[in-house]
Amino acid sequence: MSLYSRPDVLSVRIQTPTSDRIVSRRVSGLTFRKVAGGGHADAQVHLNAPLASYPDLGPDCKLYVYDSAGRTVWEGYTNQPGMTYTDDGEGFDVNAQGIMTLASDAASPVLYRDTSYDSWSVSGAVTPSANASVGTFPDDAGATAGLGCMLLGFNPGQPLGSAAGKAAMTYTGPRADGQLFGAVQFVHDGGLSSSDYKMQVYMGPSDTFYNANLSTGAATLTGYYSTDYTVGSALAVILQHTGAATNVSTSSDTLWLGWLIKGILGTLLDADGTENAPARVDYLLAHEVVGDAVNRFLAGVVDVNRVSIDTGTSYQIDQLAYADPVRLQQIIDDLAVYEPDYTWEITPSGGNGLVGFAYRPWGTTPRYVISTKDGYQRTGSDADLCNRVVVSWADETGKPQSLTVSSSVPALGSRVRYADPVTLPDGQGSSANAQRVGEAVLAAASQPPRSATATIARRILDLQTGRMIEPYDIEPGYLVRVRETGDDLRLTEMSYSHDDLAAQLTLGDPVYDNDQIIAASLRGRRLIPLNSGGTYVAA
Amino acid sequence: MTTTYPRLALTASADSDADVLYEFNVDSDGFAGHDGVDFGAPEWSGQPDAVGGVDGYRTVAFTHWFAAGRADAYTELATLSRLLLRADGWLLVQMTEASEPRWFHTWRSTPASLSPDQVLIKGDGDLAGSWGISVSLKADPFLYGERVTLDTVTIANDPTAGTNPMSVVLDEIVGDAPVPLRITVDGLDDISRFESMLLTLTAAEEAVMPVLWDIGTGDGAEVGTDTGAPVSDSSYVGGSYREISFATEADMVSRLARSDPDTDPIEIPGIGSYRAILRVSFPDGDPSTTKFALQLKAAPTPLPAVTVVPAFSVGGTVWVDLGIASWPLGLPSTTDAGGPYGAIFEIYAARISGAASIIVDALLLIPDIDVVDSATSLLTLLPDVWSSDAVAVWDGDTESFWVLNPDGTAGYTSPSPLAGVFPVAIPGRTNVLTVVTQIGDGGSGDVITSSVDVTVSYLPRFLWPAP
Repeated sequence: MSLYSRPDVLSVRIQTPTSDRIVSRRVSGLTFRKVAGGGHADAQVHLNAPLASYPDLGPDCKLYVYDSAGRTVWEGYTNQPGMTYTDDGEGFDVNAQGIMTLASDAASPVLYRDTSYDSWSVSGAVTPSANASVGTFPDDAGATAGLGCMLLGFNPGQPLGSAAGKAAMTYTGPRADGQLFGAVQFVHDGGLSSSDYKMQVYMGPSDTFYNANLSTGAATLTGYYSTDYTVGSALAVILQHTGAATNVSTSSDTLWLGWLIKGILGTLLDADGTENAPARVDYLLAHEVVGDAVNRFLAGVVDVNRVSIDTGTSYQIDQLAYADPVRLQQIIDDLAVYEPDYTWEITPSGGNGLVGFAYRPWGTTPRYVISTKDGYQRTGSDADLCNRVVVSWADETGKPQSLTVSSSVPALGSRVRYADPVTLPDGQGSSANAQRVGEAVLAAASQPPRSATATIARRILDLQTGRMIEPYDIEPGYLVRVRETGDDLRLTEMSYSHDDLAAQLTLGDPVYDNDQIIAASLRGRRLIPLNSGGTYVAA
Repeated sequence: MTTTYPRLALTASADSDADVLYEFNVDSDGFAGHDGVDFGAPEWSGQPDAVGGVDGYRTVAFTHWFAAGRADAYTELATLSRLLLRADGWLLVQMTEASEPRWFHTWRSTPASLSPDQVLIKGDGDLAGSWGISVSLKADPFLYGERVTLDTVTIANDPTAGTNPMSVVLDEIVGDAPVPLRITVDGLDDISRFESMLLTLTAAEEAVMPVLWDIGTGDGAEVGTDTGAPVSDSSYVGGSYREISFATEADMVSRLARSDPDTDPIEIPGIGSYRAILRVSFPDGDPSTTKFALQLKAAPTPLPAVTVVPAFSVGGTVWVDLGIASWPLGLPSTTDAGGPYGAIFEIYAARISGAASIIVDALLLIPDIDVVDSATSLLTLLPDVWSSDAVAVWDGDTESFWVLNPDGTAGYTSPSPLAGVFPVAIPGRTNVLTVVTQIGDGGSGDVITSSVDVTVSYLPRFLWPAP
């Protein structure tokens, strides 16, 4: 039905490079959908207009839906419209992608925190006498013996010229365009103490921020961008011979230097476009990642004055790096596993045409109040509640291992119920990872998933603004109180159809399958040998 | 030739002076007419109590008779058929000579069938016969009257002005159905370009005007952190203002409040929703380097904060839209709940960056739904390019914005983004038009001594022809 003729309905605006019109009178069949997280997802509308009237309607054109207060109810980009010339006349079937699609526009590798030795390779500047590889500290290394490291050295009997001879490994892992090394932390340990050899960390293009005599004994080295070094476009760890010409000893095997990676962090981009060091080297918090990602991936399309990021996240993320180009939406979706109580949205554009962004907790108090009379349907659950799971994996020798992880599920009482067994992917098997994955699987099976739908065709109470609002003004990403049952459910999706004059609400918690849980729990994690006993830990 | 009534005719537009394209009542032979007239009725789409239901098209049908020889009949039929096959048209209906004319806006639709039974041949050859044609037309839900143009009014850009303080009560709206307005605003040439302008129209049984809290001398405020004493200055609303310096606290805290419901609430005429706009000035040095966030707390919850980045470097004043709040919270409109209501609230402000202070001198609460029967708002980002001395026109019938030169010719402009619903007035209600000429933070200054001349016109909408 046309939107026209009454004051309390919506209006539709179509903006193309050559025209900018409100066309409520010419549209019919308006539907739109909004989701949490993301916000404005998609919309469909039929535009009754001569086919020649919108020759430039395409992906750079925008569709807006406003309510009578002038609030933007929906905003997005039109796809290439379907043109119809039927018995019903000429027109365009306009499908539009909501502005949340902006989170999927830009793609880039990006470094947040990387502890993987896969990201390192032998430097091209090493001398023929040198050796460099990913390995473990030698058995005589003391406290570090058997721990994984980048092991640098010179081959016995090889000649080393005066102040010549270099063994080095270079970081070749992911970084975004313009991103620097924000912070680094290593543990280094050498096989001998000598002023003829230097332990160096090189920061490209021109800074050796660490340069010390080779020494025995494990020591931690930490450096932050702009505090400890001023550049950071390249990173290498080096064993440099600086003494007089000599031949490497053939009688002792102590000329080695190991670098254990504790963390390599990228700089974080602020709203002004400046790369900054992270607050700490040990871990990142989700809101810090989101802050960087918004500035990095939404540059030029987001209004930095309308970016709102809640800083209350607490999960300590120790590994997050994307070697393949990644999009903002993927990053935030990945973070949802660590911070499941947060959601995000791209908010409508302001007068300057730039959109806003919000990353915020779901909250614990309901925003909307609905009734079971609103077509409320809560589906029954056939999900299995479980309090045990067996996690299997193959260790570094290929030997099968397993671990039984347990949890307390009050609804099961004393009953012991096993979830389907889980097998860790190749190369990621460790008791620590098994525990981590097992706990995640049991957490998902500890309470029945709650899901429901409701159809709102009347004004309902919005407790945040204290107003009775129209169905089309309902925003996903908040809790909905079902008055009769007292349930507070997450509003994950809202779909409005103007032909039905109603909003269809999808309520409940997201459900992840085991594959998703494993992938999320182990994302980017790689194993390094912890000690000579063959026990592995996630790096 | 005598005109008979009720008169039906196709005309070029909804205007008494418009060309008559086809007359259904008379012809040169003195015999023509119609019977079986059915004006139809608009079909309501949606549940009876649905939000946002709309009136659908109606069908107007009658049988048109005329007497003519074959040659004349051929001409008559061709003339009428060509008009019926047009994309749209106007069908004049006038019940008596004394009745005012009204028009159906008709649309191309399935023509009625023609039955040989309706053709009565009274003689041989080209002798006269009587011809009957069934006419069936789809039309807009309501009949239109001739365009009504209200007297031009001057709206002062000062909420304390004695006459039309940023709002005007429109003369009685003619018609039966809600009607989109054509609003012509003159005087915007004093306003900087790329400025947002808000038109809000509210309709209620009795006039519900925006509520002003005149901040400054005698404002009854509880002063919060870093908020100064009232300062007299005639260039501010009510002749005074308060400055917020952020000297000791830049974070979001309460700066100004009327928070005691027993002693100092702001009396508002009815419970429900109001759009709160705050007049803010940036007097210091170069405020464009400073960011502020403003927030209205309508106990117990605050509205989302609004970030303000002054776009000007030499000081300036704008109205900032803080959002729509409800007093009291969560209560739908019902007269049983009493009224008027003593609203309490707090103004929060933070300085995010920079060193500038701000001045606040007025908070205006524009009634929204719950308080009034209907509220429609349209926000316009005025184009940066247009003719000097141009007159801005917003037309709800065509959902268009354009500018006119003083001589009535089309003015030069670039596309102007519009957001919201074109203002719709409701007959039988008191309609109040509020004009905020500087809203947002993109312009260079709001001046209380300025004014705009506003002319409102519309095509009144009726359910039935005038008796």
